[in-house]
Amino acid sequence: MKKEYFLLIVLSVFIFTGCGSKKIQQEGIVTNIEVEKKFNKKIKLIVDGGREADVLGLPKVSNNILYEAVKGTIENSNLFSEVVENNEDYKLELFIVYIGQPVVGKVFKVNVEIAWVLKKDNNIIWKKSILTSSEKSIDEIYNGFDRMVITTQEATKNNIEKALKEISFLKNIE
Amino acid sequence: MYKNYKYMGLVLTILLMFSLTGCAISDSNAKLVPSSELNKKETFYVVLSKTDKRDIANTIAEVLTTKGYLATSGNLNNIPSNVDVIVTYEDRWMWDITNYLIKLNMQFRNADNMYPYLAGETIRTSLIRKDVKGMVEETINTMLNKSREVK
Repeated sequence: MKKEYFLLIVLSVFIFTGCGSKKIQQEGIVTNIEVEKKFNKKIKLIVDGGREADVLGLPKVSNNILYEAVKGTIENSNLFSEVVENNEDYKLELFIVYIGQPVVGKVFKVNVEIAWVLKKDNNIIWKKSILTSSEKSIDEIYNGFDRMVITTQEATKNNIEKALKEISFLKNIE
Repeated sequence: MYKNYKYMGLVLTILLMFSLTGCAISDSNAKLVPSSELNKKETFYVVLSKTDKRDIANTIAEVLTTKGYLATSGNLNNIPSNVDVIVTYEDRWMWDITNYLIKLNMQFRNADNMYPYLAGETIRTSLIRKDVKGMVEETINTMLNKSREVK
């Protein structure tokens, strides 16, 4: 009986605290996109509005993870020649407006809104707030925490893809 | 009979652990979106969320009205031409004996281009839950306080 009792306590701790093994990482967000144009210009990225988790412990996207994911995607697609810290030709500012996540459910739908601003000499040349989503069911990913992480990563990846593709169509980048 | 008492102890332990793993968490925060502007904020239009079955849009409009703003609500397709601010939101629910609103995200947007100006969020877990109106009031108060910080 003692063994069963102990096992049940351990199990209940796992159930109530969520034993997911994943956490949000840039590797799950960074992607390679087909771009309309490639710009031989240096770009600086500034990311704000992010955080690692909310008060419920739900995983969010931190500034650092988003920075690295956008940097990796720009480098993979060669949209700009280089991502730099200084002496940039253009500045791309990202602000995470919100990440909408469910708390329970068989199907998790996560919405991510990021405000994107492209600047040249501190003048705005393109500005757009982009809302993207991703949905995963319990049949696809059984563990709730892992499902949350992967769905959030995918919604963020969709956002980056959409924004960088739009930028690649801009005609006022020279 | 003795066995039943043993199981009752187990159930009580699990319940105790459940209650100690955080049933009283609350947070209300707001952030100003950089490079955004809102020249006027006198008239608001709250866009009914596609997933909202409880018409929270109407509650948001009512709360804004009590704060002295002109506010109406409705579908995305029926935005009046003379509004300054578009309000969007997302409600997330949880069940604990009854359904309750655990999380409310809200955004104030420039009506000219839908670009967000202010984003707010309120989270309240079961033990300190509020009704929809209470959650809406808390979120709007936090957002308006944030907005006043930059004046």
